[in-house]
Amino acid sequence: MLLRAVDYAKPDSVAEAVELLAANDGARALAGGQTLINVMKARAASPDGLVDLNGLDDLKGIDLAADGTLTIGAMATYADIASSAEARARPILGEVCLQIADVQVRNRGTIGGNLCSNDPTNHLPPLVCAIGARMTIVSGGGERTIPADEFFVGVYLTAVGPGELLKSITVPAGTHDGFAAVTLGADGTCIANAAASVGGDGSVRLALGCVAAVPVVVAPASDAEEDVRAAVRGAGLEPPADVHASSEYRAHLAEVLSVRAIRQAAGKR
Amino acid sequence: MSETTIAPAPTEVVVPTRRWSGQNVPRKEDKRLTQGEGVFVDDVKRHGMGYVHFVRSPYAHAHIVSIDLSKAEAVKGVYGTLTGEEVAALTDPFFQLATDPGAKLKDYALAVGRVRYVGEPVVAVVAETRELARDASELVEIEYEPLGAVVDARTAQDAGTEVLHEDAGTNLMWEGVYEWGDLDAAFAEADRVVKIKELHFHRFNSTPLECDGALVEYNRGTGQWTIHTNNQFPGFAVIMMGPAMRCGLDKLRFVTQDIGGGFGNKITSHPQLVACCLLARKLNRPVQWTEWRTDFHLSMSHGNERWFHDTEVAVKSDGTLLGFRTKALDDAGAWLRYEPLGGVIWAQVTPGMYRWRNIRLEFTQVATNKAPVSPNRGYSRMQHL
Amino acid sequence: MADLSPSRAITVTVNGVEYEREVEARKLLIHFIRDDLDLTGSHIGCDTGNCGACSVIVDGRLVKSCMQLAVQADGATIETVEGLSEDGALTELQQAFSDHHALQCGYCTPGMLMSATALLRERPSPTEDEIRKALQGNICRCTGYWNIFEAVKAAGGSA
Repeated sequence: MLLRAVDYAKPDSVAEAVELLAANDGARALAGGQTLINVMKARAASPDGLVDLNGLDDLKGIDLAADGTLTIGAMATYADIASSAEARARPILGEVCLQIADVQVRNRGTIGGNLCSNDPTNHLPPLVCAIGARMTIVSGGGERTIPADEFFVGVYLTAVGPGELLKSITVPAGTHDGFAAVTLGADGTCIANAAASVGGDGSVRLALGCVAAVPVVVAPASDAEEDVRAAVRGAGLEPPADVHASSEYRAHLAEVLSVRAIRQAAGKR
Repeated sequence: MSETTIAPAPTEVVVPTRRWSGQNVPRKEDKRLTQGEGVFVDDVKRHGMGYVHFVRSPYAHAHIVSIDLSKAEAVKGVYGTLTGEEVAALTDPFFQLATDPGAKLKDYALAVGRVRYVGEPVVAVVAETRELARDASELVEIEYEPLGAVVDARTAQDAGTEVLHEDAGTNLMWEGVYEWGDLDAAFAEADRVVKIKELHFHRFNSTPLECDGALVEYNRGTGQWTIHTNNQFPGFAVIMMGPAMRCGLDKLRFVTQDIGGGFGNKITSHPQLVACCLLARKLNRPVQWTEWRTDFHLSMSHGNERWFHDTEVAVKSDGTLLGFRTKALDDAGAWLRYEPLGGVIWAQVTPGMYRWRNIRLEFTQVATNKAPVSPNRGYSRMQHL
Repeated sequence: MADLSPSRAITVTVNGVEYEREVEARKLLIHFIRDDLDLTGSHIGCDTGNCGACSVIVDGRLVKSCMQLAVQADGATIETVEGLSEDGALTELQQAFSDHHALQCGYCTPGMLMSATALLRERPSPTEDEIRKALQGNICRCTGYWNIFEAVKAAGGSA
């Protein structure tokens, strides 16, 4: 409940932020804090310094381009996304954000924080994989953009390296998406989840959360239930077991939720 | 005849047109509680008060080999510490409600010589700020020699199982039989006997939203402690604390305004209160303790864990339940505190709302290396009914 | 360039009153409000940001003050339960809580009131589902929630 002593800075610009992170090995980015502050309260991890990103308006925008490309700043909160008119170009984003925790958390928690913390039970990593998002990472040396599939590297690990920040998430417009989860209580932590997207050409993308260190992306042959189940079974899942679910149960849920997510997505065609 | 020998005329009785039952009776305390003007224990402040953090055992069962406080005490802003060794010198063990063997337990405010459950307070550190107390507690170095842990009440009395309390010489803490009615007749009359070999009710906790806490001041002149606390049963706390602290009950003055839920869970905080009292006297300053939720979940006021063995229910074919007998095995945790009252109170309410007339309960309470149980919701094992 | 430092001077406005204080960076906003500003109406019920007893409104948004550092509130406008009523008279919402027995021990109540206040500002006549969703982040151990919903419904004029 009580943090260890920590240094703190609140930069005014993205350039300043990455400079601070690059210059201070033990410093970490502080986004919404809905995960990091809790971790520090438990003293499970205690960074030497915190670089507060909440002053960086450049990272908060939600912009819809004429061609339907949606760009969401990493510091956009779940509440921002859920209430954004622009974000309705890809409605699944707001729908899923509204399933995260509660009002208080949604007012502070950010899409960037959710993606960069990459907790295997998070909602957004599988979602951005399913909808083919691209992540733009900024550092002192410039920017680079990579597909979601390459962004998630391991438990709590992403492609964002020391001295770097996730800047924005880019997503094409679309409505044929679905998301299904089994959670601990309403809007609670996910025990298992699945995100799906059905393309206009009938292609299907499916991303499974909670079953491995990073989202497991699967491409069923079609959106038919047998193909979906076959694809999930063929993915060689070895989900972790914990107090909430055995490995077998998680694998079973992955299949069930995949069917639901794809049914949702296909139903919106 | 004087008028006094004539019976007075009866007073006219006015029957109220409104009765209280069925009326919405607003509460007096709502006005201050909805305005955030309640006074809960952590709201109470005293100038110069020190904040307590308890260093707790990471082991279920272990010898305390050594305690090194030097690094913690060297931190600027740390006011002082308290160990089990000091407690054992300054206080007597809390008296036990149980008969032998439970009566022989030596229960103190801090672990003495041995830790017997994960989360048992071993050392108290007091500092100028909450954060500092927490930081300094990480510098307390305690060497433990782990012992085998007893975690299954069913095998707690087996030969070869570690014994938690040498003073008792056994993990059996208390046993008693409650019998009512005529069991033999009930079973003779039964058309069938339903047998349930084993039932297990797991531990749980009523989890009031506010954790335990206290702010203790010591008056050197009068030798009286003023204990602001959310202990929900000060009458019990004081009779446990007075003899232990070798002082009259008039030296322990309890002050309480608002309590953020009790449900029984705030009855057995007297060990921590004793630690705070000793610290307030030792350090000559008020001492403030607010329990963390993590500590509460880990080690405070668990309840309810019981095995029912060889339950037999005498029933008639028309569905009438004639009686039952069972063996209730309580997993009491490492210390008895409020036990065996929990078992005894349960015996008083066993019929519940049913028309049982013949009951036999054979109670056994054993000590295990788990948190000491505490009342949860009055009758203390409601779920079992 | 901003420097990393272990503490800083902050200015916050709480319930209309401006405060200037020097705080350690590690201090949680809830501890600042309770310990530094002596506004003890907001409470702490857990270690993990689950219970919502610490809920306050910062710059118009409902947040859990245990999941934010005090230094992050520099320049912010904060509303706590103490700021709800004026001159000691209960607001309609507070009165509704009392009328409907939406509190027993009163420990979760400030957080519930702030969450309900935030809801009613956005949704003056919320549906039951909206109330449920709005109070998702607040735990009560005494009442069983029903009376709290009834109180918020009544205050919202949709009882």
